[in-house]
Amino acid sequence: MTPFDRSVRAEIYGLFAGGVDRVDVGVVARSGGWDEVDVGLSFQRLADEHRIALIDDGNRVWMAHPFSGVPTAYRAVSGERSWFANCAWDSLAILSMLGDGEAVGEDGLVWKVSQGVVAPDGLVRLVVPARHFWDDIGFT
Amino acid sequence: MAWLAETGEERGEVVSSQTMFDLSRDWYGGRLEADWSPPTATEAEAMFTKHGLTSDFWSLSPTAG
Repeated sequence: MTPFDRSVRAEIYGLFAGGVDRVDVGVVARSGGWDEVDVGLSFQRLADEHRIALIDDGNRVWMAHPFSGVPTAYRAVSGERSWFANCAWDSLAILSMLGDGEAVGEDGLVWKVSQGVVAPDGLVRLVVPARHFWDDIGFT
Repeated sequence: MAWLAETGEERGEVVSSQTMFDLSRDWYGGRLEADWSPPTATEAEAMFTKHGLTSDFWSLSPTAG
């Protein structure tokens, strides 16, 4: 990654971590004080390197793992804040990054995370082998 | 598992939620920092191994499986 791409990636992650649900070129450009064209090109480079995944013709962040830029069935909730996650793993991952709370999934599944302990200790099922994660990241 | 029989889904890799949380601390550690770099394949596999994820499912070798 170029230094600028590193800065853009960090800005994207900072926005998601700070609770921004929709992160697009305009939002990142304004937040970072950068030109939108430059940010758009950076988005594409980051996507090409599998640092993020994009939608809306490359203008919006779909995934910046573990954060989802679109509503999903998976959320991480901590205090008054919540974030969309891409999957059950990512809902746990957000809490590993940002603090204790609840990982909420499909069918009312709730895992509470407190001081590094997940309760109840349930199961996560992964279908796509690790070496193929990015073959179709949406399916993964 | 009854659910697999009912749905016809493949089992895939089943891991405890605690293990996935523990893995996340390593896998996503530093991700918010500007100087973060993705792990190499060797580093990633070492993370998997550290958390007991040693099946072929977790191999990053293109020739695995």
